[in-house]
This record gives sequence, C-alpha cells and structure tokens, in this order.
Amino acid sequence: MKNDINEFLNTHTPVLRNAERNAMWKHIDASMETLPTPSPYVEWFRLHTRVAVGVLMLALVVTGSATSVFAGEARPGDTLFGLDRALERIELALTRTPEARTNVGLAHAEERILELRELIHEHGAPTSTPATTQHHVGAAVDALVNVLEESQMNDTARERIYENLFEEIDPLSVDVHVDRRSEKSSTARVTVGDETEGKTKIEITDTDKRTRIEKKNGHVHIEYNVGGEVRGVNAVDEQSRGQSSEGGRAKKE
Amino acid sequence: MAFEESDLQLLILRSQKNEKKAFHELYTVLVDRVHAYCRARLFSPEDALDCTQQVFIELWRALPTFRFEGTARFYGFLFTITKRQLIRFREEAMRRPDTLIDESAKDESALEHEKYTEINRALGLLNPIDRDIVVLHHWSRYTFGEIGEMLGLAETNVRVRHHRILEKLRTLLTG
Repeated sequence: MKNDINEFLNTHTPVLRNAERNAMWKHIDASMETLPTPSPYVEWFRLHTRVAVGVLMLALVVTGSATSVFAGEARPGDTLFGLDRALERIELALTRTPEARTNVGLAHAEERILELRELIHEHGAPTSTPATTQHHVGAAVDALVNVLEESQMNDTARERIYENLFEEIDPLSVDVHVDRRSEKSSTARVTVGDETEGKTKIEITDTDKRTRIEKKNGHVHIEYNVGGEVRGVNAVDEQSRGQSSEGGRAKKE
Repeated sequence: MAFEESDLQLLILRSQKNEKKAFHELYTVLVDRVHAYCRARLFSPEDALDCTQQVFIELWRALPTFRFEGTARFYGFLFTITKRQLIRFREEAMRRPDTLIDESAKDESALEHEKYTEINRALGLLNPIDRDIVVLHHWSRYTFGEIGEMLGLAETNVRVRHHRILEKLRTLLTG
C-alpha cells in the first residue's frame, strides 16, 4: 500500500559516497580560489539596505543643509514636518540598545511636547475656534503618540511623557476630540474634557487597549487598560513631582 | 538531518563573508540533497556529480546577492540554481554522441544500476511537477512547506498532490 510505496521510494535513494563527496569538494574549492572577493564595504550596504537608504537620505538632506534646518523647525501639521519625522526615524533606526532607543525616543517626545506648547499658545486662546484648537492640538498629540509607539520606550519613560502631556493640555478650556488611525489601522481617541467638569482627561484608545490620563483631587492618574484588564496605575502627587517617586508607585500585573 | 534555521543562516552569513570553512560546512549539509535531485533528473551518474559540483560553484558566486529570509526561501534559491545547471547539462548531453549509452553507468554495480533503472521508470510515468515533489520529499528530504516554496505551490497543495502521487505510483507499479 502507501507504506510500501514510501519504503520503495526511501530505499531507492541515490547514495553519495564519501570519495565522491570529497572529490567534488576539491574541484569546488579550486574554483573558489579564482572567484573575485566581494568588497566588505559594498556587502555591508547590500545586507543593511534599509540603513543604507536611510544614511543616503540623511546625506542628501544634510548636503541640502537649508532644507534640514527648516525641517527641524517644522511642527505637526506643517509641510516639512513629515521630513522632520523621517529624520527622527532614521536616528531611531541607528540605535542599538533598548536604552539608547528610549533616550532617543524621550528626546523626540520632549520635542513634541514643546511643539504642542507652542501650538496651544498660538491656537488655544479663547479667540481661536474650537475646530482650530482641535486641529492643531490633535495633530501634536497624534505626533506624540506616534513617537511613543515607534520608540517602544519603557513604561516609566512613557508615563513621564504622559504626565508632561497632561500638564500642557490641562489649562485648555475647550473640548478636543481626536480620532487617530495608527499604522495598525486602529483608532485612537484623545478626549480633553471641559474644565467645568472638575477634571481634565486624555483618553487614547486603540482596538484593544486604552490609556487614560486624568486628574483627581490634584493627582494625575495614568491608567492602561488592555482588553478590559487594568494593567497599571500611576498616581503622582503634584507637590512631589520632580522629587523621587516616593509619593507614587506603579503597580504592574 | 534536521538543521536549525539559525545555524543555516549563520553559515550563509559567514560564507558571504568569504569564509571557506563555513561554505564547506554548508556544502556538507546540502550536497546529498542536491545530488539526489540531480541524479533523479540526469541519466548519467557522472553528469549528476558534475552538475552537483557546478551547483555549488554557482551557489558560491550567487551568495553575495542573497538575503536570508528563512530556510524555505534559501532552499528555493538553491533549487533555482540547480534547475539552471540541469538545463545546461541536458543541453550538453543532447550535443554529445551516443547519449543513450553512458560509459560511466558501467562503473555502477549491476544491482545499483538495476535499482536506478526501476525507479527512473516509475518516476518517468509522472508529470514533471509530481516527479519533483516525490524526489524532493523522499530523496532530498525537504518538507512540504519547503517544496511549496521551491515549486511556487501552497504547502497544502503539495501535501494533497503528494498523497495522489503515491496512489498513482502504487497503481502504476502494481498494475
């Protein structure tokens, strides 16, 4: 039956003798002597194509130095902001360790916070329309969340950035709703509540996780909710901010 | 012989850096598989050895252009090189006089010769893709997934075809 056929095929396998194996290798070895040696420099770039392209892009931009200066000054929503982000991604790609990645991510996130602050100053005043405030603040928060996702920074660093974000958003007196689509086609909603409610909150929601940042009794709470299960809560006393984490503790499941 | 993907990748990377020792290890791992396929596709055992040898010379040349993206992809790459060499050998064999009478076959023992004649007769009854599936699985010891990658078929397709091929072979050989 089938087993017989299997056995028939398996027992009729061509056999290569050691002498034949060795003789073939001698010929192959001799042929290898005459082949050109691949340049290790060219080979590095071939094997690391993405980094090579990034380095090339960086070189092109740096040689067009005016372009890079303007890109560096671009803010979320500006034309050249995409180039600025591309340069940041290259910088992130060149990091080797998780620590370096977190540090670079923190630097980028802090830059987003500064940009957010400037945008709120320009477009968050009572004379600006809610739609204008929403557009600019939403773009800045969206850019910040992108940085946090791409850099994959640790939870401690992420919470610090969320606290900074909260501090910037807190004074706003209008409601801001942002629907955010990440690369994974999920939707993130950033909701800034009205001050008259007694607290301001930021809620960033993906398909299966939600991050809530809110203020209760003067304390900032950051809560991660993944698939309905609370993963971590961090309560930081405003008066103890900037000191050690004596007043707060992150509980991780 | 089971070979970890990470080990294979390491050997390839080292070979790409011109480490002959690594390429020799790679050759040791792969030579039986390549030879088995060449032997099944070429009439002459001497041609099968020459073809196998040439496959590895070509592999050494082509490795710098190869990016490792999994074991199956590498076997597909190796298979492409093997088929190119087989075409060349067959074309050369057609140009040789007395191609039906191979002097080198006389070096084989009578028993071995009879064995290969029998199996070649059986495989010759199959269409080329089915023959490849049988040879690659039973002689070269590739998995169905790896064979799918080599032949451009889905793994499930290969499995189903393999089952039907065995049924067909049984009918042909016992009929």
